[in-house]
Amino acid sequence: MSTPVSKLPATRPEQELEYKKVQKYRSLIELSTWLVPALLLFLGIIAGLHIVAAGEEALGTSDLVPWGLLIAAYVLLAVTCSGLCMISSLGHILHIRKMEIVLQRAILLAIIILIAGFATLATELGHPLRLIYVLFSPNFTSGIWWMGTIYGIYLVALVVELYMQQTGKHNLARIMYIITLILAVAATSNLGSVFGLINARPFWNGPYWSIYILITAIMSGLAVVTVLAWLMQRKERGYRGDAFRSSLKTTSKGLAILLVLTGVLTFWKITTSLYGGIPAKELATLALLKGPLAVPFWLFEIGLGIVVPLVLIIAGRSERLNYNLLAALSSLVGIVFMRYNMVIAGQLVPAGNLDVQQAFEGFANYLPSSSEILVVIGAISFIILAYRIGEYFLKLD
Amino acid sequence: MPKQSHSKIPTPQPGETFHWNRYFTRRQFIKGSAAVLATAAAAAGGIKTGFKENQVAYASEETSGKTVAIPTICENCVWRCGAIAYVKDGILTKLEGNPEHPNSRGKLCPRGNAGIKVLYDPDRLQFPMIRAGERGSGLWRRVSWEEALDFTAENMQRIKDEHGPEAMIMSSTHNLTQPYFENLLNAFGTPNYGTQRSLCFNAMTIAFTYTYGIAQPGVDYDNCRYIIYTGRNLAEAISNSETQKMMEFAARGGKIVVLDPRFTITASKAVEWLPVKPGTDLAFFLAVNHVIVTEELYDRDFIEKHTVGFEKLKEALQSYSPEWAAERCEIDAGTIRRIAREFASYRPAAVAHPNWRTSNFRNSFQTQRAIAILNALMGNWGKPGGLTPEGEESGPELGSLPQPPYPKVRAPRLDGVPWKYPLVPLKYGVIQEIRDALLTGKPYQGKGWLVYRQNPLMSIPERRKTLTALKNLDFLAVIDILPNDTAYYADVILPESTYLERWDPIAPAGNKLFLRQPVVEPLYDTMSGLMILKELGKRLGLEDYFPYEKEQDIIKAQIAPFNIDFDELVKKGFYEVKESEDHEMHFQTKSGKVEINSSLLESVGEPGVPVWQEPPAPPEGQFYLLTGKVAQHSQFTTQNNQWLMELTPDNPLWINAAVAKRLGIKDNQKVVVESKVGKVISRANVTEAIRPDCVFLAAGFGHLSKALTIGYGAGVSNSALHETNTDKLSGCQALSETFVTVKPLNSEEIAGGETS
Amino acid sequence: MSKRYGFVMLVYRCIDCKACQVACWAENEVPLGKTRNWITRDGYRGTFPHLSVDYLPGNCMHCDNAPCVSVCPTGASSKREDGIVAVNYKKCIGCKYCMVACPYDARYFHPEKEVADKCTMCKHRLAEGKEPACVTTCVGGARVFGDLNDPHSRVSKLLRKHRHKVLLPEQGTKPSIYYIMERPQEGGNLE
Repeated sequence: MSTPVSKLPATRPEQELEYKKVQKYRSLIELSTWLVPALLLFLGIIAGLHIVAAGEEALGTSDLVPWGLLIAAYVLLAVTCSGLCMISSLGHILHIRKMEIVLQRAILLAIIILIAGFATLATELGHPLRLIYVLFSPNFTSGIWWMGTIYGIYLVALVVELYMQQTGKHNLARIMYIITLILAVAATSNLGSVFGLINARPFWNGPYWSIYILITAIMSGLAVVTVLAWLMQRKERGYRGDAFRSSLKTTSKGLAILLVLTGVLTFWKITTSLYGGIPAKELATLALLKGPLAVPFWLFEIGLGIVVPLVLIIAGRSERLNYNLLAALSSLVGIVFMRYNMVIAGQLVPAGNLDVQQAFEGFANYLPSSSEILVVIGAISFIILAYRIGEYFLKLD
Repeated sequence: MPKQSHSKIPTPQPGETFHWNRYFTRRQFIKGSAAVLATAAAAAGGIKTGFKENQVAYASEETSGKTVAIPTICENCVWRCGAIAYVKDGILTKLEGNPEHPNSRGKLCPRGNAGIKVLYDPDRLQFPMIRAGERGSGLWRRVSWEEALDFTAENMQRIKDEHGPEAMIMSSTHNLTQPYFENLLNAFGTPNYGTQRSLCFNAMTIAFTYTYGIAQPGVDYDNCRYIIYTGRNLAEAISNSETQKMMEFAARGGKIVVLDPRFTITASKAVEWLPVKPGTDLAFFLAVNHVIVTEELYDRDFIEKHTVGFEKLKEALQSYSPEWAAERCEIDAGTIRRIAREFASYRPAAVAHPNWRTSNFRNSFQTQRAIAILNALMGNWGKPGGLTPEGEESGPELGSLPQPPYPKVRAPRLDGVPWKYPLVPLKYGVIQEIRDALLTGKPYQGKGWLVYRQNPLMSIPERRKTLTALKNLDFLAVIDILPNDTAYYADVILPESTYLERWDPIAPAGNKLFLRQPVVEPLYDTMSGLMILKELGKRLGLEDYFPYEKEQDIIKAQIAPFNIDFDELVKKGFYEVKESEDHEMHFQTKSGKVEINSSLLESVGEPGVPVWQEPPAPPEGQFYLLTGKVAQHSQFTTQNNQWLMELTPDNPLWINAAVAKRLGIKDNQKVVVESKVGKVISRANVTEAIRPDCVFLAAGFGHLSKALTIGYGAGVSNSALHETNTDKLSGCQALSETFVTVKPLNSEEIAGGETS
Repeated sequence: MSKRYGFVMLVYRCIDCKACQVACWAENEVPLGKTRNWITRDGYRGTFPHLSVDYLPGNCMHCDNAPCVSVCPTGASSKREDGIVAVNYKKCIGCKYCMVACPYDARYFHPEKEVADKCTMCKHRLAEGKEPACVTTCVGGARVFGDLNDPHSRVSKLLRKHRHKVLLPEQGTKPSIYYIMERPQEGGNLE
């Protein structure tokens, strides 16, 4: 990372030359921030089309592990969207002034992220066009039906909210803040119930994931907002830059609190799942602790997801901006694996084996295919691109 | 279906040369489709006498879009179950058991059900081919039927002219066309006939023939109450109707005792499983007979009226007490005594099953004799719940086509029947001796071999030797449906139509005559065995022995005595003959009675009653290598069947859990199995279900032909390990007299690879 | 009373030959690598030479309280009046929720149709008056099929006569497959 050029006094000729070089370098970086995501998005689309065309062959999923990375990515994106929305709404409703400056952007980002999430989910579905049956042939006992419905309404509400903001209808926007907050809480906790309602998967069954997802939604929202604020404070000068810096410190404090909460939740989830040695629960947990998911769990979910960001924020007392950025980025990487681990761990113990008297000797296999990984990278690239375009065309302050 | 679009090789045109491995492993996956049928139809014609006329009129316009049911006979093993084929628009969609057929009783086993994948096997032989490079080089040339048949006949004739007809070996496994194969053999004038029998159940069939005059009596399961199976694993070596009846018998509460070193599925259904030490079941039965004779538990009336030689038996059995046997067979003397008494208490509804191969030792013939005699002691012959006097291929006498007498054979047989094996029937032979005679050149050198529906390279023990023998031949012709291992080393391959595409002679079952008929048009440029044999006969100047123009002529001649309408037979698939009520107690033995003491055996200087014959045992650190079947495979023929391979993709080495632990072998770990004659690398199946002194490999795997894209590389061949040990009385190969070492695979071994 | 189709598995009579699987693959054109039915090996109990083993034939349990039906967002999976849990391919969006929710792992994803698929009790055969293909071909006679609501059916008689169980009763799924684990006693009748 080069030092900020603006601080360089342009006096000596060699420095002048240096400055020009750096300027050129900067514009190259600037260009690549458009080109690289565009390229990755293109690859993602190709991979997505391949999955749609080739179906199961292009996926790492199997009949034993029907849900793979794309479902995890959908959960990741949908939940991050809700998190952003919740922070935005709470910030506005509770008038957290220090955060306001960054919250304007949160709604746009939430909409983009949700669209990316839907696109990822549609790639995974065998027949995305048949989604009309969700409307025409609803099944009210289905967690996924509610999820689709609530997130659908939610997306509309977010767009309305953004429209109100853009057109300066602040009173109406304020109502929308409340509506979208309710929808965000409903959608997020309902998404947890998609897993919690499955009796056949003891690791998922119960209310835990609804609460967990709600908490971690706010966590991922705060992490995204923190990154956003860091980027903005680099760009903006004077008062506005200070405002972003101040906002950044606030969200980092929030992030730290939620990291601690998530750590506590995870600790008790692991402990209760191991306690008593109930086979399917215990085995799924062991898959995380020392099985096929040990690296994603210990290194990414716990290490990068919780420990590193917490250490960074505390070490910088939430005052050091770069520490906060790194903490947020680290936790975002962790959150990706958090979602992945949740979705996969629940499936690694084949349900049908519950009745076998012998101890289950192995786990089912799942490794994401390259197409799946590319789609996820594409989705993230889409978010970056779409947001930059949005920033360009919309008035976000 | 998986898409296999990559580098597909087009089917060679007639005259085109191609490489075996490349063509077979990369050609397009063939699925039953209209396109395939179209090419087949285009390829048909030429000398293939009237496939058109042979076509059953099923694929007509009126059946378009409808599923038609065509009765036929299964051929995924030798049990010949009646099947019904469901065909839609010329494509076979389903095979079901024919409820009218006593062998299937409306059901098919997994192999029978998987017959569809025989027809639609992606690797099938599609046209005749002649070797185009060195033997074994894999270079072939597609030729016309005309050329292939001329080439085959010319070579056979050349061998006959130069070395005499006996220099030509002909071998075939049990099948419906076999009588016409034997016609070719006998008309050609060679005595050298190889069958699968000596690798199979010769011991049983010969023992029962010399005792009762019937090779393979049945069991009256409906009334039976107690059965002892010795190495007969009906639950896994499925003989459809008999397996069904066994399970019904067991479900009724019939008592099953199983002697087997392995806890087979049959053993798991038994009331009592006796993990007998391999090769010592003879001791068990001698002791059981001893108890029954000394305690006078036998059927005195039957013994007096219908048997000869009881006194000699009594005398011979004296020393074979349960205590004596217990030391040898590792079954408790008390248990032997108890079982003998229990068993006798149920007579005559108590059967010691004739089994199949019992323990696969050289003494198995004695074991089978002891079993045959135990049944005689029970007096269960023809009684409710006893042995039933139905022969191997019993049934109504069929009509036949007239043909001239065979020429006289002038040379002795290569396999030593009867000059070395006086008791082995000519129709059985001792095929492993043919292989050895090819290597030694004694009593004379065999020059050519016509292999029909056989894969000697896979089936005969000591695969390495067999390979050398085949490579040294002047001429090797193979008739098969798949590019099999033996075919790879052939000079010419004549592709046969599968059993679902051809006519075969009538198969009687019980009092019914059943018909095998094509259920679809041949997919490729193939011919029925009957027509191939006829065309060969014609070219060898032996046309008179094949007095038929098409396959139906034979069938029509066979049904002539019964006043059946041929078309009706085709439609119904079977014809019921009036049962003759002939239950007279008569035995086709020399004495006309049950020969407890066999005069035939005595005539060749052997004891007339069963005697103890000590089986060899493995030295310290070695194991008995046991072989057997799995329900999903038939010997060496089904390892390219997509469905069956999905169920049972290989044959891991069973090894006792405690022993494996001692040797440091973990489940699924690679292990090196080595005998005196070969070495293979297998996968360990660590299990409690086998004796500690034994290991087990199921038969049929370890194919060498890369053209079998599904079966190649799957499992290991136990023929590569088997030593050749032939019983001098029955000619039977003692498959379990091979002892092996087992050790975990280490890195040096990997470099060595598998040897055969 | 309406029909309620179900299976009774005479576990003792299963010889693990898997004819049922092949018959089903052919009958229902099940894609290679997939299966609608199976035989579970419970594993050997005991140590040499004191051993026992059971083979449990299975397929979709056609539960009365089927999780797959509850979770299906479009109602593509439904419980029919006659007891069959059916999949309407046309409505299936391929979300695989049913596959995740089935405690018996009875479903597979059809690679060409791109829908969740499973045992239909061969309803097309039932319409022709035939039994399901797996039952027709069962060599050991372990699979018994019939109307559980008909007191005179063989399944009903067997259930009255023998102790039976369902798999994973704690899941509350109320399966329509009953397992009779009994071994025959002498003179006893497991028919």
